[in-house]
Amino acid sequence: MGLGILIFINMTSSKPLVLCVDDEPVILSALNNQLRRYFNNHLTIETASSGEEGIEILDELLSEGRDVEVIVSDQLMPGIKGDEFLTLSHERAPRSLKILLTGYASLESVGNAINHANLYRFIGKPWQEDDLGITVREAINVYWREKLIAEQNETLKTLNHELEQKVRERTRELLQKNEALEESIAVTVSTQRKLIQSEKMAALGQLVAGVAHEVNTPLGVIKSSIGYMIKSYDHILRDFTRILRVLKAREMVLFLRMIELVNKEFLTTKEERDLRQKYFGWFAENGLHLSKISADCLVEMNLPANLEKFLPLFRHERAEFIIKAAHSITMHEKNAGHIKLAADKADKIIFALKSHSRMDQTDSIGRIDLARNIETVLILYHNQVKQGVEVIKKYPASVVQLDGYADELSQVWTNLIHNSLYAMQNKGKLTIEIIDSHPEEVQVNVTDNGPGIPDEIKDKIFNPFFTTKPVGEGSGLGLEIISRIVEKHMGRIELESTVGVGTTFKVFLKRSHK
Amino acid sequence: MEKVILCIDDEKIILDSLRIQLRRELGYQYGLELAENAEDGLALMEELTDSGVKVIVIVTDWLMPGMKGDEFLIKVHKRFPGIVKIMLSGFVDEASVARAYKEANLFKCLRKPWESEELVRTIREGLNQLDKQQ
Repeated sequence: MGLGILIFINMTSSKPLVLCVDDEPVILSALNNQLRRYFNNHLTIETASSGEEGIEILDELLSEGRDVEVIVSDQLMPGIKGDEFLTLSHERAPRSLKILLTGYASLESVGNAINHANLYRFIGKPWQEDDLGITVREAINVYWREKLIAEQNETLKTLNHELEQKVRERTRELLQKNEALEESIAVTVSTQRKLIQSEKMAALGQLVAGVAHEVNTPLGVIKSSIGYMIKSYDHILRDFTRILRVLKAREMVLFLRMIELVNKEFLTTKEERDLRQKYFGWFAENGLHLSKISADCLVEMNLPANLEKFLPLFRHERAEFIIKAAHSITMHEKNAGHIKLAADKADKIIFALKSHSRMDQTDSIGRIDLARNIETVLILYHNQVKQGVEVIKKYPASVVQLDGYADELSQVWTNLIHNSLYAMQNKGKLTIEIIDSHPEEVQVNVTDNGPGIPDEIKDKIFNPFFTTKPVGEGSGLGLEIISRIVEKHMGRIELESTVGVGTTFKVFLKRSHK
Repeated sequence: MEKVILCIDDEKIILDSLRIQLRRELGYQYGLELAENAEDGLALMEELTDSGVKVIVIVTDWLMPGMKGDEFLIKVHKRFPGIVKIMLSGFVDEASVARAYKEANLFKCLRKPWESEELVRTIREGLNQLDKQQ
């Protein structure tokens, strides 16, 4: 008996259902009895005496959500025929297994039923009881197997759909996150740019203050010297005309020779004071009664202390006037010299400023004189350096050249020197050393004797945004920027620092980029 | 008593220019003394005082290595009152100037590059005021 299989296959709690349709009550009863017997009552049998009634019952069953596993129908009936009924049933319950049962084997009707009702089996009348039972049992099994497969397919389809949905959602989420990320990267980049810009602006601000002071000094000298020269021109002419009258020819020669001896070198105020004392001593030795003013004039002219051969001029009755006249003539020349020096100095500052500010504009690689590159920066920092910092330069005797971006390299020195001065609070020793001993690279050491960098922050100082300066003073990008510049030059920066002793930044740069 | 004007600047060229300029404008009425930093300036003042010379005017730079102009003038003001104090600088920190006015009785702060007329006028005005006070 196929009972076990039935129970196994049927997933629902209810018994399998067979709908039997025949216009002959005897046949219907036989079907009912035989199937009941065969399935030992584990089967629900519905019967209809016509195709129309069969459709009605089927519709009712289906609307109740009942599985109709098998439909068995006679072919020859009044009203709609078996094949027709099965075709209609197929439209309603495509999964039900259809069995055509007839003594009158019409090929046409069997073909119809096969084609339009997906006929499962054809059983000829009269039939064997077992044959019917097996056929129905098999049909029930097929029904459940197919239903199971269909359901599994459906589940798979749903799962598949859900999966696709999830993938789509995840993709959308990822896209959104990606967009947000891209946006935040853009913001970061622009913030970083702004910070780099503001770091540059801050450096520029310091530079401008320094440069203003540096330029104003020579400008002050030029203005005062020019003013003097314009005003005293008449005075000089008058003095000189008078000198021509006062001095005899030989004295005139001495006068001119004395003016030629004027030393244009600057003396320190201390040296000047010593020189003045020497003149007083010399006046006394020679019994000269000359005023302090005359001594001052001689000091200002920076004449040598030994003036023996000019004694006739100093013994002259108009000695004081002669000294003053020599002084005023000399001062004219001295002023001209001052103007030249001041102009040279201003020129030097402007040159340094120009090469410093070209940054980013001519970003081309060239052959660089390392010492000169560093000197440019030192000129701009002169004003801060002179505050109380002793600068010790250790450059090799011969010129050290390397391939590089001059402006960017000067940014490296600017930054390192600025950091050193900051660390030393503008008081101490700044040593800049160029080491030219390696065949492939050159080394620049910038050393200060500031407080040093504690071990715990040594690793962090090159990180962007790391700063020990008070809020608002440093962006923390200085060292990060220069380490990028050094990397661009295929070089590296090393740090050596001892708390209480000082700090050395060692910059190694490739000589050639080829 | 010999009266001198003391100029202090870390740039010797500025000191020389000042000397030439003041010599021309003020003649030999006053002596001129120069110092390249505030510390030397103070030492020089002690020396001058000891030898009976009186400093009547100080023209000092502000930004110098070591002691700044304002600090120097405050020290001078405590030690030697009654001197016309003038600051002459290319760059001055405003707070320091304010401090010098308040604590050192700064007479005036002039900027580099300066006009010689203005410098001389300022010196004369300062001296007039000093005369009135004494």
